[in-house]
Amino acid sequence: MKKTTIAKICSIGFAAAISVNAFAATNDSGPTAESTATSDISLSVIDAVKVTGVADVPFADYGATDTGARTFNDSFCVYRNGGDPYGLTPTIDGKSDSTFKLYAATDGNTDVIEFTLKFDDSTDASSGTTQTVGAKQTFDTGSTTHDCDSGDNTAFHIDITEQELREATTDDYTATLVMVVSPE
Amino acid sequence: MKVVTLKKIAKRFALICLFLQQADHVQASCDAGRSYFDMYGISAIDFGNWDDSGTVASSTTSCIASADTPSNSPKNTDMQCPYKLTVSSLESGGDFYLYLNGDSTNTGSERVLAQLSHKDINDGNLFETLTEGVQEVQSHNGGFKLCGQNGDNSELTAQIAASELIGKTPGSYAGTFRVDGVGGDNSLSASDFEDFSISITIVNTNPTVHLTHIDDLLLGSFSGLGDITQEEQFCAYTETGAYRLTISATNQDINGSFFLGSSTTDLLPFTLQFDDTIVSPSFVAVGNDTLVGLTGSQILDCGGADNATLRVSLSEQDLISAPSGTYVDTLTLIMEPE
Repeated sequence: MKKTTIAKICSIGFAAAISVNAFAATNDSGPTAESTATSDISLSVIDAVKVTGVADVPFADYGATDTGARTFNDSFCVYRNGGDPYGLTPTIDGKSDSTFKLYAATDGNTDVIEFTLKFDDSTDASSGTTQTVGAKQTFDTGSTTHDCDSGDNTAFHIDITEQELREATTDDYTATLVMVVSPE
Repeated sequence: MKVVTLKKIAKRFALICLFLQQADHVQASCDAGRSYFDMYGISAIDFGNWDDSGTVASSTTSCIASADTPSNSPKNTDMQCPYKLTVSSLESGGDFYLYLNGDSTNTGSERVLAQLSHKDINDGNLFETLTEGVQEVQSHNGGFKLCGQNGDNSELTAQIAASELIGKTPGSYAGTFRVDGVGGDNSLSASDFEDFSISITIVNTNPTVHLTHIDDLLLGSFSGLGDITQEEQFCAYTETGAYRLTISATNQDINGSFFLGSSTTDLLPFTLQFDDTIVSPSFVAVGNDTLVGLTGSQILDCGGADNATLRVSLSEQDLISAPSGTYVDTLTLIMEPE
């Protein structure tokens, strides 16, 4: 049995509608004993998200003497301005299958290993929500700092059953998991 | 019947003759001998600051010696003799004008007319209003030589009517004048002169200021990275050259801190700084306190330029934690002269 790996692609999403209030600075018609002027300050903070700390998933070789399922948990940081809600949408890069799969290097069209993917807004997604390819999972609160104060606030978890592993043809299996982070 | 004897008549005639002889002797003393006329320094008249406080008047006293030593005086006794004064302007504009900044080419609202009058303290005459360049009508009795007796005898008064001062351009006005005196004998054959000045400062009691060129501070949008800083330059005109500035804002708290506010009541702190220059400004933080001792332009609209800078700054740390939205605030600047 060959090793299986999952690369990751994460993205930062922006969505904004810039709204600038009307020009309203005023300067009085002086000179007078007292002069008054006003200046309006305006700033648009647009939606911003940023994901950092996502790691590759290098499953070890699975051979004849190996038993049981394989799992992997990776926590990472999702920044969301204002700590507002964000979404995570998982896909497999370059694939359109409805389930998550690793693809064999020799014949990826036929030889695949399915896996389940879970997300959770904690550092351990083993008990998280099982994901569907292309479906967005939303979470209520992102981090208000770019690096989650040097910590993590979100995780994904991969499960490969022993049966899937046993049924797999000998080969290297890989896939690139894409998680699109978007402001909600 | 009262009988007057010839002896009595003769005695009375002799007394009259003696009296006439004495009177004639005084007059004759100022007509002959060594005529002496000397004017001593006349102090400047400075009215100081005028701030709508009405008509001003001030006097200066000095000694004017006008004496004669009759050649036939057995003891070289001085006799006090008549004198007269003529006051003239040493400025090119004539009359008793004081000129703004001493510039005698000024006219209209940049010069003020003083009235001068003169009297001799010792002779009991009233003040005589003087006409520039014209000798006074009254003749006065001068002091003895060297003014060693009786002290000052000449009093010169300057007066400027309130109606003359109102509406004139604020600033320092000054004029110099010459007092030409003649005397020393009855024919006023000796002369002397002294110069003196009159000055007044018209205080601007209602100086004006004007803020211009102030625009909105459009900070654009924040997309997740970096601090935001933006400056706004404007013109601060002040008639006096100095001003104070109070800056407040809609979302300012009681501690003087500034915030941009969103429609959902989120607040985004910012710092506000100011300097009264536009070149290499040395900013000071703006808070609740009025900024004082600032220097402005005395040219309306700063001649089209700017001379003051506002700076608004927001930190990335605050920006990244701010919820999405449009944040606004309104600064109000109130400028007053100093």
